[in-house]
Amino acid sequence: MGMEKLSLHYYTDALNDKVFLKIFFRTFVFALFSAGMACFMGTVLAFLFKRNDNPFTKPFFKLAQLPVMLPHIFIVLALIQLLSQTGLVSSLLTRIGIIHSYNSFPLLLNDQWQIGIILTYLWKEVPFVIVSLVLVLRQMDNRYRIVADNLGATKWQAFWNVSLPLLMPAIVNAFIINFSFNFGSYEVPYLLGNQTKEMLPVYIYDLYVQGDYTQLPMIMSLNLILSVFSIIFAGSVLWLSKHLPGGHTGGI
Amino acid sequence: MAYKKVLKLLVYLLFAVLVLMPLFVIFMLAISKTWNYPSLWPKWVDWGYYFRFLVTNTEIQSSLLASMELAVGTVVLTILIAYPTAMALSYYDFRGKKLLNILVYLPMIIPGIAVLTNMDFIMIKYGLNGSFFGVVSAHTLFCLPYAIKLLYDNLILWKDKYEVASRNLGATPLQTFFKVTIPLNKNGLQGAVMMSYIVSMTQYLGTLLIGDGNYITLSVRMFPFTTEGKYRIAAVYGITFMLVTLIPLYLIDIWVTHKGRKPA
Amino acid sequence: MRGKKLIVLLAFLLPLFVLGGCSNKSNDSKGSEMPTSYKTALKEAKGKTVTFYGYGGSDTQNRWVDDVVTPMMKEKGIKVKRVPMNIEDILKKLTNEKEANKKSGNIDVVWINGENFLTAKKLSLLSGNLDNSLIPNMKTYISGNDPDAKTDMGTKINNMEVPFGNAQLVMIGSKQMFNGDYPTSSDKLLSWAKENPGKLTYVAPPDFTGSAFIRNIIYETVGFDAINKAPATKAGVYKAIKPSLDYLNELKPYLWQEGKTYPKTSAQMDKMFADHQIAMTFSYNQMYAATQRADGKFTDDAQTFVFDEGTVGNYSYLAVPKTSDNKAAAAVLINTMLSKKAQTDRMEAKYGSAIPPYSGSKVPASITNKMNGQAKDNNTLTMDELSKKRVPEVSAKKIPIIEDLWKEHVLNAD
Repeated sequence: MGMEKLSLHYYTDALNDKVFLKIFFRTFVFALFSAGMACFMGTVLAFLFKRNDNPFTKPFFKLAQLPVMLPHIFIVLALIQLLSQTGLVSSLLTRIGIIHSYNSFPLLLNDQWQIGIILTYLWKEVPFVIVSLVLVLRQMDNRYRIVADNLGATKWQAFWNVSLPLLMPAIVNAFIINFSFNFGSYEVPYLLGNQTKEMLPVYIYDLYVQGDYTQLPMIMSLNLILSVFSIIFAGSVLWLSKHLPGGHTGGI
Repeated sequence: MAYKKVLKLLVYLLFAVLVLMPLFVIFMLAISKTWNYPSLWPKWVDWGYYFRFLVTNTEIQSSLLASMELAVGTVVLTILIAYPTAMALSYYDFRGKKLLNILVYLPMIIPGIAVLTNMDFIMIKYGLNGSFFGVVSAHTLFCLPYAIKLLYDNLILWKDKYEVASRNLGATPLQTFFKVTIPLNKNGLQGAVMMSYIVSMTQYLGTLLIGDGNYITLSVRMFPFTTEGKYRIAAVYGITFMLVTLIPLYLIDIWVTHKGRKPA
Repeated sequence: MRGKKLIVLLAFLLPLFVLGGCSNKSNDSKGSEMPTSYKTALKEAKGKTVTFYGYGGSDTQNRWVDDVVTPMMKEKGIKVKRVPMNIEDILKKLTNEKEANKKSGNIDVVWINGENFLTAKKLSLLSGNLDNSLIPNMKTYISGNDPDAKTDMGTKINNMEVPFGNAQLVMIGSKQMFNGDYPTSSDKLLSWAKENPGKLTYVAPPDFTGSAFIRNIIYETVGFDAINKAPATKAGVYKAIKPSLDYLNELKPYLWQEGKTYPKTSAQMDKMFADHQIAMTFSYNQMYAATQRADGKFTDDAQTFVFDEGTVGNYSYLAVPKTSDNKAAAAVLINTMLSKKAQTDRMEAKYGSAIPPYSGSKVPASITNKMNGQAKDNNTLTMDELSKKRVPEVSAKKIPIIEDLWKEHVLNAD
């Protein structure tokens, strides 16, 4: 659909629509939270296993590559089999006698708190963060850190003032990539989301599959709002990262 | 120290279980029937099912070939574009660098449907729809953010000090590139190749729209089954998918580490 | 710096080489003409390859095309290429081609119906003239008076579509959970839900089976005429279906998770049904219980039933886009898919147990017998029962409106 079909009133309509704004805000908070979680966990794990003297480093890194390679849809399939109320975990707990029946197993998929979606994203994105950080960590020589050690820096100081700043650009990049993905993709929320707590991409996708082509300009303007917002957000994160540790080496 | 080792072992084991458990479930789904609550093990398991399916199904073989063709093309085109861009972004200062830095993310940020629709329109205009180059460039678009950023993360660590030294010592630009830049950043390059390969393998809508039905890849065949709930067939495709992704990437990994040892 | 420039140059040159290699096939030929009779079509189509675009998520349907239709076409000297693509994406592709002024394309036959047909017709993407003389099997098996041969969910067909499949919503209940007493009306359903809270649910629209279930509830509560006569506006439809929305709201607290969440896809609902978490699932395929059983998902416990007042039924169709390069071969493919042999084989479980789209008076006896035989073995219904309890679809325009109203007044009621 060409851009000539866009007209301004679709934007003002959307931005005045309370339902749309609510969904928008919910999706933003969700994307921020899940991308942040993934970056935090990924960074911690990457550091835990970065040292070459650690016997687990190599298998760990190979293991971390696995989820990066698989489409999201697989983990969705597996999670449905594992975590639905009548899933394998629930069966196991029933067998052991921890829960009486599947009714006492909490709703983890299609739930109000988007737990299913978050788990899927974490499973994919934590390894992605690890892989992109380990690639940098491998390259980064230890000299800076050794110098810091010799100068009497504590481990924490060495981490905070030496390693983290060098890694920061990679973390920020991974964060932006994860955030954009979580904010804009529909497959996972479509399958594991909760209808009453809808996500923006699903909201747009539903309009699209309803097949009402008179709605197309509106769908395209919603897409554009989503994109422009993500770009502004990515820009601000990059700008902010200059003021975080490591700002002098990377970011912009 | 022993305490720390145990902690690391525990974290490692937990991580391994969390990563492998879903993969195991997918594997089981591919070879079983009737796996209902509250049984922990499927009622019907046939270990040979997957291999028979793979050997007898011509569909899976032809789509495998299509997937690989596109993936290799995409990796080549992506690296050709991403390497100079990442080098420019990390080595030099120029006007519009900040903007370019953000624009790199665009293909990830704009919803796929919107990008692909417009791209399809352009491809039709120029008669590229259905061609190998058309589909490969659609895939490349989605690989670029990953490739550029992974290369950039790596290149920024050294900047161009070694290249400058190499040029000062009289090496030609090409020598410098192949003997200095690439060996120094082989990890970033490896990451970029890996991500491009994976992103290309997983493309669904782009392959269909721009491929004009000429490239029926694994993803194209698999996607409808997953939404339909044909978990067994989806899982069969999934395992094949894993194999053709894992094997080449590990081969590259071995090659890179092996090669890396000698000159350095 | 010079090194960098060289690389950049290389990077930009390579695509140009490839471009040069490909651009020779871009000269646009005009889309072919639709032949006027089957005989000429057959002659023209020899040696061609025809593409079939349609939903690819049903392995049994795929197998039918590959194992039954493709060999039949091969005898006529025509190759078939099946491309799995969702109808929304097919329409998107056709619209793009139209906007780019492309006169010929690769899509020859599409599998389509209802709302999507309405859209395709509005955007004039489809070619006409699919009539009795071009598709002889239509003359043999489909009566011109059949409402489903004249309109597709309220949209006049005008020879742009040929019936391909016959779908009707059926409920599949658990023998054990319902104790053999199935809720064959909306009232019975509500009282069963009140006695057994949490044991029922339905797929959330816009999933098409969920949407069909809601339409069926509308027929039960206000009748087909009320919704059929209502103007196709939000206010008009709301006024007509208010009692139905009230019914769904009354049912809501007794649903799974108290109606706060719904399964997203029918696959998910089927899993819940197979696990006995809910007592009932439903499908647009009348023989669904049989195919699911053959697949090892359902057991003998699954029994098909319909509402006493009937359930909504519709047809799916085949159509040929205006841009098709191969209209002759497309016509031959459509005729072949409609043939008795192809349709008889299609009733086998391994090909999806689909019911032929033939008009009641023209169904060959062998097909009726086969269907009734299967009903006994698989806990499904006979042809006669199904056709007696079949009610027509509402106009395609109203379906998105109903879905919106459900979202507004039922899903987000509180």
